[in-house]
Amino acid sequence: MITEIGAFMHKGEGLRLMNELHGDDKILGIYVEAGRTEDLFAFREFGSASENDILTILVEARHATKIFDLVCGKIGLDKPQSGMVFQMPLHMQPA
Amino acid sequence: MSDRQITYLTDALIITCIVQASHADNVVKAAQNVGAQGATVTYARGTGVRERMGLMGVTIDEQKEMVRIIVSQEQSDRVFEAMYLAGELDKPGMGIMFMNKLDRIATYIPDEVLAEAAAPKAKPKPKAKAKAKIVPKKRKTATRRPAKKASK
Repeated sequence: MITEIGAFMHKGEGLRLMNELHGDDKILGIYVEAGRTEDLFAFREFGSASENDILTILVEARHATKIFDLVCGKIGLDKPQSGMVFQMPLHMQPA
Repeated sequence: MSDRQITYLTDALIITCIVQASHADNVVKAAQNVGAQGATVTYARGTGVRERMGLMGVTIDEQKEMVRIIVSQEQSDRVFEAMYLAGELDKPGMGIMFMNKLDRIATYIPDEVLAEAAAPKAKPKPKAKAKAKIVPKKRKTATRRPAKKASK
């Protein structure tokens, strides 16, 4: 079973993390998007929003906890306004 | 991460809404009005519905905005409904939205909040039952006054 791990983080962090993790054997796929957010960070760049990165990682469910905790550590979730990590199950396997 | 602890949150859902470019702000505002904390918006390009709609398809923007909102289970239906109505997704070509259950979430949680959540809740004192007292209401009786004769 495949699991998706998503992470909202500061701008630039997504690409850095992707470069760090893409060589990991447990990771089936890793993608980065750029977007804007309204509630994650206190600083505002454009009106009420600030820029952020969205990282999507596909892993097998048995490795999910390890990768999830790894991403949490890399983002630095022990500090306020560092982002958010979430995990959701996928019901179809990639080809 | 050995000395740090991660607190996992559960019972949450992620709502994803894909709308035409520049419509995302309305959707986010509607979600915030019913209790959502905020949203993350990304840009995307959509295809499919424009081709199927024929000539009318030219009125639909190819550029899309994708709104992602993480909400608790309790507020999910309310937020979903508000976003749907704000995005006018009941009209053709306006967009699509869906909701996924999350296994877990991790984010920064202040120590005070964690301590409060960990502390056992004090049982509320049972309220003494107040005896119902029936007080008969005084009936008001309307008295008719004789109408004054109009003086000529």
